Amino acid sequence: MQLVLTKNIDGGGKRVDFAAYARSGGYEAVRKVVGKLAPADVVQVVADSGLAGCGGGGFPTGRKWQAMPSRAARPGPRYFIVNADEMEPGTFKDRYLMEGDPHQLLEGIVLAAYAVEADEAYIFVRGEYFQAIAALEAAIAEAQAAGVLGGLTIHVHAGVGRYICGEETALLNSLEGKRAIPRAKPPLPQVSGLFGCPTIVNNVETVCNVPHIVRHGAEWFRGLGVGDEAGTKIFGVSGRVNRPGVYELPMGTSLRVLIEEFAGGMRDGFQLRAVLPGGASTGFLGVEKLDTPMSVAGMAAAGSRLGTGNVMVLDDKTCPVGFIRNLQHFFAQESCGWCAPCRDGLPWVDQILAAMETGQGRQSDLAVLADMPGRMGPGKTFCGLAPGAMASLETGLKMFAQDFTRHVQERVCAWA
Amino acid sequence: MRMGIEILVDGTAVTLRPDDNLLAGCVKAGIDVPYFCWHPAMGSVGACRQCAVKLFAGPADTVGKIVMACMTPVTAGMRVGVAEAEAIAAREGVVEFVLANHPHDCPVCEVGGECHLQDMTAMTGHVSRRPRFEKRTHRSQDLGPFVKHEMNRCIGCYRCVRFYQDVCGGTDFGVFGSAKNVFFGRAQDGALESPFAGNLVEVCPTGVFVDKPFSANFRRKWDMRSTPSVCPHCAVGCNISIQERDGVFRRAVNRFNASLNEYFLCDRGRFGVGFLQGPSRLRVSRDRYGKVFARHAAVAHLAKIFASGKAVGVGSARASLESNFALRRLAGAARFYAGLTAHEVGVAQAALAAMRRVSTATLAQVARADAILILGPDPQVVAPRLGLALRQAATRPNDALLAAREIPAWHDAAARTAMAGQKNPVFVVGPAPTALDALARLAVRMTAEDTVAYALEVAHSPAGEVTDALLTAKTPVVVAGGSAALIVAGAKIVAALEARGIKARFVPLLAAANSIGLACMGAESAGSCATAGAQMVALENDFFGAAGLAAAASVTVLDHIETATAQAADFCVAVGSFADTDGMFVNLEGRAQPFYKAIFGENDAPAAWEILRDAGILAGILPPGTWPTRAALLADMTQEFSDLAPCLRALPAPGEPKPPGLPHRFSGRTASRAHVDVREAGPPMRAESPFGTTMEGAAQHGAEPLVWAPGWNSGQAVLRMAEADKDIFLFQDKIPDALMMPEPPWSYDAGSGVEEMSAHSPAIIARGWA
Repeated sequence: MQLVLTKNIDGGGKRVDFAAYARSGGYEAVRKVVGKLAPADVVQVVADSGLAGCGGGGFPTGRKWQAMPSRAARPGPRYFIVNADEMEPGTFKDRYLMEGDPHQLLEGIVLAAYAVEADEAYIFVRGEYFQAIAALEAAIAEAQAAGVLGGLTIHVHAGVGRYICGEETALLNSLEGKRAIPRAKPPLPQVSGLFGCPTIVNNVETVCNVPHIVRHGAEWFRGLGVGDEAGTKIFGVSGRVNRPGVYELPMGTSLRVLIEEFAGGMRDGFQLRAVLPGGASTGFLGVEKLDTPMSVAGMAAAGSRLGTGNVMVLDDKTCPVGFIRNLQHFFAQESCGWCAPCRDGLPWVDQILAAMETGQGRQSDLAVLADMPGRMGPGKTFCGLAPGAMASLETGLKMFAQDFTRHVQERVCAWA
Repeated sequence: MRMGIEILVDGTAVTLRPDDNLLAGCVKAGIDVPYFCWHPAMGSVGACRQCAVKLFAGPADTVGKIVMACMTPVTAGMRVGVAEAEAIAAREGVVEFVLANHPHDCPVCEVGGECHLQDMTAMTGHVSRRPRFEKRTHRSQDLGPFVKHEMNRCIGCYRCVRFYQDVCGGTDFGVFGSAKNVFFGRAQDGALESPFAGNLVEVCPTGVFVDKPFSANFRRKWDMRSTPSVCPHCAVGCNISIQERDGVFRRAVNRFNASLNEYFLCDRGRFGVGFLQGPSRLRVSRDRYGKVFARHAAVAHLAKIFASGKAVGVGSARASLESNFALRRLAGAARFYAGLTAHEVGVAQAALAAMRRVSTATLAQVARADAILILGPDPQVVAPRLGLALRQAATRPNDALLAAREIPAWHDAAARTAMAGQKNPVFVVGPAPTALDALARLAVRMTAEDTVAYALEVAHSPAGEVTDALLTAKTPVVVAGGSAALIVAGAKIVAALEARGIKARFVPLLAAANSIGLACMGAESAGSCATAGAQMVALENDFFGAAGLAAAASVTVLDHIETATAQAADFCVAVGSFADTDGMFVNLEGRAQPFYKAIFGENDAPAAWEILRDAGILAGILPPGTWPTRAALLADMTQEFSDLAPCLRALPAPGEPKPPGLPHRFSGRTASRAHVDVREAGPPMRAESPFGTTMEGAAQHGAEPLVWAPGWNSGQAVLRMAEADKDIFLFQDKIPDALMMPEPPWSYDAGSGVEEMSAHSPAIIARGWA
């Protein structure tokens, strides 16, 4: 199994410093490309590689970059931004990359900024990631001293704890000092981004892939995946498995392989009941779907989403209503308050589920819950937060219908 | 006339304007699509998700997708489903969401019955409540004497904060918190600082922000008579509606005029009108000892004065054309003066001279100007609504930028993102800081004299930052005031630009509602009129103040408020205010605007011109039968002053149908005075008014006194009404010698920003603005 992104990381929490990173071939891509290859050619390599955004959207990175007007067409400042505001419950892959091998991210930034002709870069990092922030700042100092950043300025900006800042346009507002609410698209950030200037926002893992693609080529990268999709992917597993954690595996590895082989299967006395395959904003898959490949298309075909690729495992000793309530509570709290369905709908869902958990649920509540996914589906809200929240509710209501009914009829949570 | 775009809505062909979004187009075309966050003056942001409709990709598409109508451009042939089941369910769902925490206190809410939230709820068909948990509540704040805060009613549409911050540039009010706890208010209790805060009352789709003086003097919308009027508190003359019940003024609300105030008023206007119900109204004629005189005795007193041949008339920039003209006729042109300082007369005359020579801008043109030069005092102080229009021009999305990014002008969210805080060129040159300095590309402080020299330099020199910006603009506007010399210099800049084929326009900064109207009659300052033995007749002005006039033999005041001059006068004649009578003002755009009797009390004082006419006839100065009607007076006036000739167009054509002045649901007509007299008094008769005085009348879209449409009980009903096009502009034929205008000697007075009548409004006094 070929490790690409995590090959330098020993998992012991030690940061790979500049010397070690350089010894492993680090910054070779920068030397190979900057000033030697036209920026548009770098964009083309990334486009050809099939690299897709790893933050949850899965949008092709090359196409995102190609939507940025050229410097000739839009003179003035241009920005490259790394979205390191990893706040999705159950997702911890970017943290691993930043704490373990920050230079890999920096090299990716240098290459990406070169490709999109940005002269300033920001890493918008989750504020609680103290260790990652320290690692990034130390690495930037080392890289600067070594002269590998060229003229690029890289700022590390710590967020102050709002999930919505992971949404790229809310991130831009926050970075500008405004309320963290999403912006209307169009205009796309590539056209009117940070301070109205052309801007690219990419996830940490996405950016970390760039040096390897540039070094080894698009063909090589496409060959890393086991199905139609390219590259390796950092998958995570949480829940009552024997070895929860992050695993770098080929894109398209099946859920079963990830959970049973790498995460070591379920702990003794626990049965796997269902999984959220890609973080809190994806829909449940049952045991019968365990052979689904972990890829954007594979998960979509199975009725869920790849999301961040970080699997949350629901076992038979955990109340599914409580599990979903926990997620809905999070989303209700993290709604930015901008659009009505999310701001006023999610708290209602949360109230109902909380009532069910304490035996206060009513039959009529089930009808209300069943209405909610339709009311907060894609297009009906301003951004993807509420539709993401609805994924687990919608699939959960179907998959655990009996559990919901029992909560209401027996006026008690059987797991309590 | 713009070409329409034809689209299909629920299978029916509808023609919409291409510069409207789908929501605005549908609503104006009579198709009910509910909405909250969109506002015709503030555009689209897509926050409330209420205007969901289905959009089909093509003729073969049977599934379609839900889009927000407010965020969707109108494209030829597009197929839209408003009545699609999924869209209907989505819209009802949003109303259910926003009502989850709404207190449903409509019976005790001031907005009940004219509430956009009620209208939209009914429109979606939502009828039964499902949320059963404790509602989130907020602590409301004390926002000062103008606006009452009831935050629990909030449905989170964000209109208030967008208006306050984005439109007005206010910084002391905003949105706090997040998720379900978003709170719209101030960091702490205290009066809202923006001079436009009162618009929150109309901007809010429900009852979070309420007109506080109105709340204390409340009647339901359907129980008030509503009359089109003109704000008398500055030279802008914003269009307002005066609403009354039982002869008592209740409130003033914005009256939409697309080329003037559009949707917004200033607070001095909205709350200044409260002087009508203030403690210092002069309601009966009296002598200096307090002895009350009936109308005929007051007429006799005036007749004696005019018959003496020693009468000196002092006209007023806040009185109607009619009353000024009547006084001038009685006193004689040579003995008619303006109740203004020589400096103020000079400013008004310079403005008049400029308006006769160069193009003047309407407020709507100011708001859309692409370059602005402000010379002299702060427009936001002297003429606040003009200040807001200038602010709109400064922050308006740049046309070229929007075109380059393919962003429609209505898309407020996208336009602001693209603009990224960039401002259009505004230059402020004058002796003191202004509220617009913060938005200006350049704000230069120099003495008044240097400002004149600077302006003349701009007018004559082809280079420099300001000149360049004006020369490259398509529709630049120059605003000047504070000094006759500065007004002439500003007009010369406009003339120079016009000579180069640029559509430049001028705005003279003036202080009073009828400054231009009085200037048309050409009176000298009353400062020089007090000769020994003169019998002064002061019309609706406080020019002499408490000091009175030692040299004069007597002073008689005709007014409707107890000014210092009235208190010191020998005799006071009570006359009707702008809300008690019909009349006309000419504003700083050169727009002649009629106002109408709006308040029907029991012993209403007549208009000053009526008293003066009666006195003139009694004194033998006017032949019997003179001016039986206002129309006859206006005919006389326009004969004498050809500038004012277009004023006649304001009169209703004979036989024109009269729309009703009372709402269709007006209740208790027969009972409201039953404790005084069980016999019902007949309705007031108003032969000359273009409006009826009862509930009956011809519905006539466009000029109704009432803003109301079926299913639309709030002020947003204006979207369903045809735009009235009855604006009357004077000075349309220009004298072509603008660059040769003589330059008056310089002197400067920024004005106090305190308007005489509004200073008698209890709310204005409470706010500390008197």
